[in-house]
Amino acid sequence: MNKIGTLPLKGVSVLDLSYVFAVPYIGALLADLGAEVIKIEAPNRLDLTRGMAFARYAENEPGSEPWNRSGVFNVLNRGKKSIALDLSTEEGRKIFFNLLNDTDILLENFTPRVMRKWNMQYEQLAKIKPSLIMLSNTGYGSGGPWSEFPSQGTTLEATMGLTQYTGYRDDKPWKAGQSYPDFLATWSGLLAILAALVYRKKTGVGQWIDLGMYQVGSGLVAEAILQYQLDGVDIERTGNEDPVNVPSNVYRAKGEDRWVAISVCSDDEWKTLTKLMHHPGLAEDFKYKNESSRRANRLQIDQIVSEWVQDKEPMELMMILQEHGIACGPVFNSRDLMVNEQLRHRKFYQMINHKFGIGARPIIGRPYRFKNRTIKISKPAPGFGEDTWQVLRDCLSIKESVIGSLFRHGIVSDHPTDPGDAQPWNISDNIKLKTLVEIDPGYKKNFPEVE
Amino acid sequence: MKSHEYQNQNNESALYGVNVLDLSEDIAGPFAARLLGDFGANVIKIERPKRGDPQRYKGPLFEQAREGEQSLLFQYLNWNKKSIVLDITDTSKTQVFRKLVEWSDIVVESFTPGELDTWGIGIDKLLEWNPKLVLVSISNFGQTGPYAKFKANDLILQAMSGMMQISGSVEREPLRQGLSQTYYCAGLNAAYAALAAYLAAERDGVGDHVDVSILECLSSELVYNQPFYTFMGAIQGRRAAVQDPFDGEPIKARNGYVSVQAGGGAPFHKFADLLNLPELADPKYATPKLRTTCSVDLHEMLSSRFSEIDPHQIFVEAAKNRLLMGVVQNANDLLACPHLEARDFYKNIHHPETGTFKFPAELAKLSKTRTRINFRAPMLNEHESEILNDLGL
Repeated sequence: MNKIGTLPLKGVSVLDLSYVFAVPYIGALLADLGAEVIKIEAPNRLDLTRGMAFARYAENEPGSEPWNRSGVFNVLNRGKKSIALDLSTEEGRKIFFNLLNDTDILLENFTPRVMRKWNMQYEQLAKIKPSLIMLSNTGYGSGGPWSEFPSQGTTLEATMGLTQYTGYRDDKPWKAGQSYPDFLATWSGLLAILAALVYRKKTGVGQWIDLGMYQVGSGLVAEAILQYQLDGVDIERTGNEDPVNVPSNVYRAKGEDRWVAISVCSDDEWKTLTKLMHHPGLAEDFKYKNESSRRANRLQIDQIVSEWVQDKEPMELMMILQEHGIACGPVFNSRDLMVNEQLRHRKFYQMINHKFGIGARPIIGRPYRFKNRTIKISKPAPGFGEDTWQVLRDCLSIKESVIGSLFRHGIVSDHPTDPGDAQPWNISDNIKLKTLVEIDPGYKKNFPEVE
Repeated sequence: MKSHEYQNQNNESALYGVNVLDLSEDIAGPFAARLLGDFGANVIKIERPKRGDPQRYKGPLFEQAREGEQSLLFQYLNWNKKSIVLDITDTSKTQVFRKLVEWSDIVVESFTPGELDTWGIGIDKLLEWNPKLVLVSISNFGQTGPYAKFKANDLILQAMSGMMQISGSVEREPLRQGLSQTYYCAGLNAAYAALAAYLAAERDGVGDHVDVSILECLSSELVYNQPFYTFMGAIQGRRAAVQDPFDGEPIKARNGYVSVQAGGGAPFHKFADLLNLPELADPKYATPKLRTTCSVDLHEMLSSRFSEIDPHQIFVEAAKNRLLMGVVQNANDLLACPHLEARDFYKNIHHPETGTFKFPAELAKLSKTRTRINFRAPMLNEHESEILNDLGL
């Protein structure tokens, strides 16, 4: 059933020159919001999410066109068209400048040196198209002593200050999640772009967004930065502990490597938990009666809770504790998420049909629903350069004979010229290391319905 | 009411003339509303009677100040806003609230799903008063569904989002990200989603309810991990006990830690030169797979060399050689960072109760409409008479 309002970015055109995680994700979400997004790919250089570093292929089989079968690429580039255009050539850049005429938003994350060489810096592009909104994402931003430094998600996470405050008690700093800084850049970038769009609607004027990932992360460790100024104390790493609440931790539950997070946030909740644990005497025990005494006895309490949780079924435990008003939830893995009833209700994963032998797969949607607008993924990620002909012919009105010549000279392509050697992922190595928990042969049964 | 009364000094702001009503509390909602204020929106914060936003009592606290005005984190999350105390659960006070809703383009709230309805001010009522309004609701799991009323906090949300499944060591319990990342992520998402809905409402006159789930903000990060399952049925776990030290995990250095990552612009053997470890150029260390098989020895070699090296120095040296390195920085390092200083990242903000502190001030740099801190966070109910005056009450 279609809702009453139109899509927020209907009629907005985006040119996406970016690659890897952060900025392509911006392009994908702009597409979900209704924009038309054209991804420009290099004929001789595959986006790392199509091959090499990050590609994991459908059924772990590269197939005959592995660059079209990569999981993460298909999530980060859904909703887009793809043209393969060699921007390192003058003819390629001429086509780019022509496309620019009808472009509202330009996304890129090249090293600044490259954009300089190609005469594609904001100042130059703004002369051609003053209403252009251009987002440039770099590790450290333009300007400043570190601005030319190379960067990548994991190393940035450390430099930004996030890693310092993550880790087990008395252990070294740890990275957590996967490429976390990339997503901070994605969301900050989207915020800046949409604000720029509001401004442009009123004034007709575009602008440049200089998104340096480093400082986005530093903005999110404000507590530590402020605490340090207050008393010179650096907030310590305490694993999953809470500075105030005890018990608050993850506890091993029934099953292979299954854990449940529980957080007791008041004396009443503690009383309730002790009853559920069939330990009512505990609630009266002065050692644990209030917050500060529970903090002083954290280890003992964790031990007691741990013993109680270890033979409990994670989902059942969650239901019981939640029914009694205590915050509790299992550590969910990717299968749990796929079948989760709340995420199904929210339609968080959307089934999308893919070509290239991939078939229908659930793709991550967005963390919000609009009551009056149908925000959703509009199409699967594109095959490499698959829209090249169509875009050149229909958007730029280039004659077919000319297009043919552009193909022959390698200015454009629908096939990567240097795809490298696509290998399946080494499953057995990862099983041995336990970084892969299991392969679920019936995984497709857990997919949501196609709408 | 004249919205220009609250306009920020500078017209070159992206959200000039956009009115935001912030009903939210703690971190996620207030952060989202503040971000809109940074881009120039007029933000009025409604706080609950007596104590106001509970964040006023949560640290870091400058304890010499008056109770309720001690929290520096509250200041960080609530600058660019004016404060009025209002009991929105009381329908006899609805007149003021209704006028504020009519003034608003965007309303941000983070109450338990269903609460606004029980107070008679749910989305249907708000759209009746102001059909073009955008209501942004931030909740743990979304406004509806089997988990809508579940209790959660940062730990529970990270656990249930799938994030902790892949974080920490296989030899230990799953590990959460430190501090309050969850809520900042939700704030960023809510802010941009609010603007998308606002743009749409401006164009077609249709208001909306933007229903943000904090959990899903985190699950949205699993772009690399979820496809392992959806493309081949593989369930990922945590980090290996011993990893290729060139895969970014922090390594102890002299008074600090560094992070080293292969796969950058320069060839791997350049690390041998950088670290003065000629053995590293040996082909037996050339690929991630090879390095994982001898990771224990490699780790020892690197730790031993790094223990003699200053982390910041080697970080800069590596960068100059186009090698990927990070340095684990703490608050002190960030406050002293020459690059952040050059980027004009910090602002000194004075507050009459707590004095002056340095705050991280700018996420992204926009060339025409820079974000700005126009005024400090409000004291509780500081702007009541101003606001009531302008409402004609």
